[in-house]
Amino acid sequence: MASAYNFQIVENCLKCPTREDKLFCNLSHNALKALQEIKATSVYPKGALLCLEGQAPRGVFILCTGKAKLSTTSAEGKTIILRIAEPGEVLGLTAVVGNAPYEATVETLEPTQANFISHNDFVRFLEQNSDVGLKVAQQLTHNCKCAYDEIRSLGLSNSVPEKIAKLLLRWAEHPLENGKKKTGNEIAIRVTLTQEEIAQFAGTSRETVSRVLGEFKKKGWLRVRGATWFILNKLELEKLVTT
Amino acid sequence: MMYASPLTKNQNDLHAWLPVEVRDQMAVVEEQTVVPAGTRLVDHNIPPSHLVILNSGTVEISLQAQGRSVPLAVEGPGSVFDLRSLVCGVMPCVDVVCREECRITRVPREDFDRLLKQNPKAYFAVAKVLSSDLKIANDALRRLLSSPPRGFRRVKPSVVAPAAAPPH
Repeated sequence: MASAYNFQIVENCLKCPTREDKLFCNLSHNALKALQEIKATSVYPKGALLCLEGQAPRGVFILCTGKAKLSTTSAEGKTIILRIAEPGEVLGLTAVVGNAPYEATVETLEPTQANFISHNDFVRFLEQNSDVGLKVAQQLTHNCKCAYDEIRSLGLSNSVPEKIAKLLLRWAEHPLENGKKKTGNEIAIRVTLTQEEIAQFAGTSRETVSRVLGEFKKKGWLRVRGATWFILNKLELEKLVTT
Repeated sequence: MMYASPLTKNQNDLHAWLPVEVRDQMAVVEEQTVVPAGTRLVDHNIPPSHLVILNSGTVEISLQAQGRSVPLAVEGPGSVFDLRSLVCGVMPCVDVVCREECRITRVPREDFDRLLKQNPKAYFAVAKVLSSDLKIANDALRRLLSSPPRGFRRVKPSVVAPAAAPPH
């Protein structure tokens, strides 16, 4: 049977075929049973806001499928993308654990299935299951490492082309399975971010991103076909990255 | 379950949110010591042997990248260090250096591991501390993206101080 958004909705975490590959979901049988009792499954379209920066913490979202961007606003009112969350991640942890407002706005980048767990239920779930405690620690450690990697990457980049080359090379680590290496060194990647969002990720303006991508295309390093981008010359992009 | 009282001055997130019985067990294995300015409490190259709690003084947290250093924050009493590495078995990402003479509490790794295994409810306190670490990292990222620096400063070799002295 065809399903909305072209993906299968998994209502039962115990039967999820991909849970073992995911950061948070690979829990013991008992913990999964407890999770099944307290979570509410929903499907969101692209562009849905799961939570807003500054909003009181209602609970956490476990991303089952799809991706979401975590963004924040600087003191100058500039929107900044902190990172892109992948399936299996728990969103809103810091707010719920710290009983503080959400630190970032979470917006889906594609059709997404997420499990919501209310604030009190999640705290109880965490306290009663040691493996959940460990997974929460691992998730927070992962988030922290992502932030540190981003600081290193951006802080050591000397130019915007270098920053954008770094982003492209990072995305190229996860190429589209059926689009990989069509010819020679060509790498196909799916880019769900707009140029404005890439600018927010790289701490620059949309115009600059547009100009740099134009240069990459002109030099024959990149080809763009809608949301599918082809990295045609990885070596040249790597040369641009000096650090 | 009884939790310790909420955070007060000179307390730390870990103690404040640990169940009382766990805090009592931890007190038995805690080692108090005083370390001079320049002491490196956490080194990103060295797996931690202890959990470190700062009781007095201030420390600078910085991130190393290819011989350069980016300061993330200056933290004071109540801060807890090396928890990420101890709980998740990863290498530290940051360096933590005392800016002045500091009074610290150290908990041996094996004792902390044992306490955590015996008391899963302690993970809530662990998550509290890790959330604070994440907030520091995200705040630094916000600052960097808002006004990108002209480059990280070079690390001065003289900043590197001897490792923490063993407890007296």
